[in-house]
Amino acid sequence: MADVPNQINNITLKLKSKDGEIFEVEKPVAMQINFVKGMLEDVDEIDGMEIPMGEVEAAILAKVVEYCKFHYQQELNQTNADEVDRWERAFVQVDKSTLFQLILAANFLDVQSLLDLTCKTVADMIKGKTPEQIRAEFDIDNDFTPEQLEEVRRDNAWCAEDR
Amino acid sequence: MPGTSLLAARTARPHRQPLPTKPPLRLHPRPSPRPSPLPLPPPTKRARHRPPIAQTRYHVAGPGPPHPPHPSPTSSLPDEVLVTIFRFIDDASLLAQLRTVSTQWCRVIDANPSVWRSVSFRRAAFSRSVVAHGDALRLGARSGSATVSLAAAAGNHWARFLKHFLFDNHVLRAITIAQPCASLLVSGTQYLQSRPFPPWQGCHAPPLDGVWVAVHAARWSDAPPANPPALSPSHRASRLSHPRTPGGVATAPKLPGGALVGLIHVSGAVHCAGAAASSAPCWIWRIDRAVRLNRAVRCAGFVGLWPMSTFLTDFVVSAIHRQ
Repeated sequence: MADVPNQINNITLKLKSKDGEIFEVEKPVAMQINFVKGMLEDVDEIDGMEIPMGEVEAAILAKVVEYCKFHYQQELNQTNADEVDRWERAFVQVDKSTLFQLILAANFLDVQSLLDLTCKTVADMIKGKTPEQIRAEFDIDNDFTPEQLEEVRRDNAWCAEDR
Repeated sequence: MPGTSLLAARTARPHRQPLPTKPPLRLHPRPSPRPSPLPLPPPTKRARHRPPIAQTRYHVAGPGPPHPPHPSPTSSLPDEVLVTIFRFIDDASLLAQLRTVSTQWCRVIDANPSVWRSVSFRRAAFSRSVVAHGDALRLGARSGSATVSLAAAAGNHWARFLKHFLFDNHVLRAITIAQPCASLLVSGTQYLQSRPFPPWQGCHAPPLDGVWVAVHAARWSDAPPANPPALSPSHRASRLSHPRTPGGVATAPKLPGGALVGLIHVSGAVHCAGAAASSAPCWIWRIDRAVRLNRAVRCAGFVGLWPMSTFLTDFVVSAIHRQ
């Protein structure tokens, strides 16, 4: 009984990034990626198959795999919540470009916990900033016409913070 | 072994090309629904003609050639990702301000009620001077509907409450009840209350989504409970005692009297004819939400369902949304 899952767990999958790099990942780790999981449902034989990971580049895929590995280990070892929290905070200490690509990858590959973690990081960056600061921080164009902006501001008139 | 051949392929590559000036790193938003089955390479058994792996080899660490600047990272985020981000924003006034960042953000926030559902209005400083200019806000107008209306429509209870009393200028009404019933009601312990009148008395018709009523605890000397329910020490003493009044242990906790203690939301009421011939007919109110004021607001009480002054309404509403 105990041998059977072991055999299954020993299978490694080859995840192929957009730029052709192959990541060999144990199956239970890779199965946290719903995109991979969904793909395997349609395929009988997975031995030696390379699974293309869409537009995800190697540097980002490496992070995704690192995240999945940690969470797989964490579930096995029952790591305490504080440690997980510390690890996750360190994990998202990356530059903004990487963070946004990580979000897009998590969204595309459908790794919900990673998507939540990265989105929460962005939300925390947003908190305590004025709209002007947010635009500067995330390099967003203010594409409102003055009239549109005036109208949206008027909707916000109830909150005194937006003077 | 596939692994060894892979390694061999990696080590045997002739030279590493420097990263060419690539198009900007950017994933284009994909149309949901995921996952779209990508064309899988046919699972060939022996003929492993791998594409040359290390054409543009990426190095996670190390300096490497400079990247081209990433153009506007968030503007490349698809709407569904922005929704996930905005769900982590728990403050209504911040969410309202995010609408002014860009047209995409505004559209996403307006079109997704889920981002409004559980925001708090704690930090929003409402002022009646703004509310008085209801025309300028064009509440209810589809194009310029105010953010409170958005949140109210999304099912945010507080937004509904605030919209009703601050924006739509409905009068908040109160009932005066003897203690400890008043505190039991606002602590959510008691779900039924009988009164000789319905909670919507004076309205044209019973409101479909219930009605908020303020609960005023009668002064102890005015209306001592004729037959106070026995409160055992363990009987929810902690839930009943207000922070300002030290709760007794052996005796019943001292509950505020002559003050507004909270609000109840009455979802409906049924009319009951008096059971005995002598008893008067009454209405049984069904209460589905209760909010207790952390600090009771001292004021006089009246008989029946009495309208609160504008000042008192503002005071209670702001006290509640700040606590």
